[in-house]
Amino acid sequence: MIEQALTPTPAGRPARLAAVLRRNPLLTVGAALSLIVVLAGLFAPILAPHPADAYVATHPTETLLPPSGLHPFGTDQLGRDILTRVLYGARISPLIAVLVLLIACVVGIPLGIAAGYFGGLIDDVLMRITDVFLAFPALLLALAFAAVLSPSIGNTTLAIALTWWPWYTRLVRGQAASVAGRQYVEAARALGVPHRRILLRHVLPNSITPLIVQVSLDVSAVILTASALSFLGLGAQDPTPDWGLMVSQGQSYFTTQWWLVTFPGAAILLTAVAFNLLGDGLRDVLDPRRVPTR
Amino acid sequence: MIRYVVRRVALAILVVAGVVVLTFVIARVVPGDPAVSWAGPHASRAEIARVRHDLGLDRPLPVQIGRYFIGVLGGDWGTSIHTHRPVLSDIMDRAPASIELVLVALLFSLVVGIPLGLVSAKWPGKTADGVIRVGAVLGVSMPAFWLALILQLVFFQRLHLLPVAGQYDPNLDYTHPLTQYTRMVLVDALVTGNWSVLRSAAAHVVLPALVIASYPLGVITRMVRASVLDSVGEDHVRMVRSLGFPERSVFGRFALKLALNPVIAVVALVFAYSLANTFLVEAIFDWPGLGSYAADSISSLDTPAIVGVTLFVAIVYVLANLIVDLVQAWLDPRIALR
Amino acid sequence: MSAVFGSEDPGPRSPTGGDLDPGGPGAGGSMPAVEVRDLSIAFGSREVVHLEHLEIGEGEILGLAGESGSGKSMTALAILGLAPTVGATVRGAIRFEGRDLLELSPRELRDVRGRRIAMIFQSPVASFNPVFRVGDLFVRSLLLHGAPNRREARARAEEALRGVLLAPDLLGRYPHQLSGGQAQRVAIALALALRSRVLLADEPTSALDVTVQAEILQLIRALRDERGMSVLFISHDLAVVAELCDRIAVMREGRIVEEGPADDVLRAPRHEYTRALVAAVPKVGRVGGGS
Repeated sequence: MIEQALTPTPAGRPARLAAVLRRNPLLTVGAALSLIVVLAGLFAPILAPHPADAYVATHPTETLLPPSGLHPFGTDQLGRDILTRVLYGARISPLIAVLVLLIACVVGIPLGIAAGYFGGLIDDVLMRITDVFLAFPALLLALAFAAVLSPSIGNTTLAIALTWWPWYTRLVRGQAASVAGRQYVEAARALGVPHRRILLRHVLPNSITPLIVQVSLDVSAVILTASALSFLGLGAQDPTPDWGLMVSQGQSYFTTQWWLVTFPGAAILLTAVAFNLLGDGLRDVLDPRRVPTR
Repeated sequence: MIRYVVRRVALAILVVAGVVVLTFVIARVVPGDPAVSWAGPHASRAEIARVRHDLGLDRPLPVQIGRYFIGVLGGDWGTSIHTHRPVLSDIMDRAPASIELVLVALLFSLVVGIPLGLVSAKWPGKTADGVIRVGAVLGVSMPAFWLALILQLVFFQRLHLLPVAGQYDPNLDYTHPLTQYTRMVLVDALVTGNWSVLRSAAAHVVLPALVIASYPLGVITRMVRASVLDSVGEDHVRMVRSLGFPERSVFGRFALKLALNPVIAVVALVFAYSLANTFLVEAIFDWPGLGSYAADSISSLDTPAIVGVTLFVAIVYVLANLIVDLVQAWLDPRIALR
Repeated sequence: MSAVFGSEDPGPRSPTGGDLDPGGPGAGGSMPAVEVRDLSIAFGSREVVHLEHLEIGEGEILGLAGESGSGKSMTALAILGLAPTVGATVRGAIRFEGRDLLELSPRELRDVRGRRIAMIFQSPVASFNPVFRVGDLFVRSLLLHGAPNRREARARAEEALRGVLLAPDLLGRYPHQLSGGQAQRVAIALALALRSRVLLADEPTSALDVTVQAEILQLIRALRDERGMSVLFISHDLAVVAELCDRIAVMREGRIVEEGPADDVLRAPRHEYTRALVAAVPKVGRVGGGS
């Protein structure tokens, strides 16, 4: 099944994609929303009505203005345009997610392959280590790491990545172990094919599909974790237009100036929903054993 | 089965040991020189040296780990910088309120999520299914701290419907003082028959519990839906249908009991996740639990307290996982064979 | 042959209640147990089964043969009113005990299922919900179909298990603790306990190895001989069908291409598809006739 999903007939690809999207309306919605978020981030300088407000500018005479034509989402406690900052925020959260998942994969995949393919002592030691890491809720462990590091976006990313890699080690290990036990791999080994080649040719490709599904499902989890850390003051610092930080700063005003909290938080929700739908849809399409499509 | 239990308990002990080591690493290794941060920004060299000696940081690392280990086992979890009290007693004071909150939220998620998942799986592709699925995605995608603020805004500021701060009306301490046994207000009020406090506490728990429930509700609904849908094509479902059982039993009893297993498997996970989520929510609702303690510790850079809370939640999580595994093996004996 | 039911302590309600002439194949003539007329089963606009006429005689074992996908299983599901649960629409008439099963209300239909017409499936272990003990399913089914209390239900379950030569303490087991043969016997015992008149057996032996297969076939034959149960035996394996059945209907692409007494169909198949099937069987002939 995995092999089939991996090697679609090249000719039928666009047609198949269209068919897949038709059958999975939620995937379509998720893909569209994700695309909107990414585009909003990419084109923030063009789309934002007051680009200067994203970082440096403040307007002491225009603080806490309610939404209007000039400021569709209102202004914050420093008079900055919230729509602008929300748009620029779309450059931060998804970027953190990408970096975290990249680091987690770079660390997690080789360890998982080593554990699953070679087995034995390496496997036991690595699995016990992942057991320990997975004994913490991700948010909590990331929070502990972030708390002892100085607060910054880089350290938030690092802290979350430190808690995330064991998931991939686990996942890849399972795949690698099952591939390593198959007859054609055993035969290749017996024929003296080098490990590196077996790993690249057989083990890695077989792990890719579940990995893609898991990574895409994890994007929103990372975004939520990162925004939670920012909310607690352990992530981005002012004046970075980070959504979690904006909600945190808006807290003191939210009973009277609701827009400070509402729009950045809604952006987090929208982004998380987008990538969750995308991940769910990809899982249905790529890994049909897991959950029936409808 | 006994072998399975023994093996599972041994693994849990091993993991707890690893958890202690990892928290040691976080507390003492990651921050660079902890003595500097402990002594504070204005400490002199001599003070730092004294702190280093007091903490045992001048000893070799294995000795430090050993001491830390013995300390943790003996209940010495360090002293909080901002409360100046032993971290463990702070945690014990604060934990019941958080656990109560999370349990209420989980109970709500199970009671609501399981029927929603069943309805969704019974009529896949229909309107109800679509609404439930979208709702579940919203639930798992919800930033808890934001939902907390929005609910406060709507229910308190605009509608004046529900209280938004504390565990119950503090005025009741004078008129209806509460005897505390478990330190969980709902439980204590119930066993002592203190109905005024019970009513007040029930009203106070609604909003924070709803916020905490958002994620588990989404997860449970999706899991029930997926596993019931998985099983409807199976021969055993056909079998109970062919025996004349009504659809209500086919789904509500036979398919459900099978579906409960994966649900129970994630209960420990969502319990721990929810406990971590209280860190974001309790401060907003002025809930006197572990979460607001952790938030205070974070803002005062109170490393011993933060690490203590982390350790505590991890241990609770390991125990919850252990219990869940044993319950599962009891419900579905095939598991013990794997 | 009566050893199958009579070997152990027969208990208060002796199972040897066969009211028809034992061993009398397909009495014919009189009213058939189940009579299917103009049955059409379709998924959307695609018709997958079209049967003009098919009947299971009282106390008869009718073999329904054909390759997989020919609509055999779907026909059995339709008789129990279960085809709609897999998304099929059914038209036509299925006469049973003077009523048309397709006209029954869901409630009436549920009363027929299990109690009057029972079904057993291809993968015996998978046809039991893995988290329910075998006894639990028996007791629930018997209570559903009129057993007065749990104790009585339990007693009937134990008696039914003895009837299929299984130890009653199997009731305490989970499905995964049964072998395939045991599980299929348990499924048959369930029909026995519910005193079904008709058994729809959907490839009941295909997943079993040969010796176990022979035992199950013998058991099914005994059900007919001693209880007068009518059996629809579905199989792609003509050798098995030949061994067991009184009459054979051969299905292909949703239609019956040939039907007749087992010996005639096997010895002188008229339809070319049947001939191909017969030719594919290494040695057709009645093996080990039981008594």
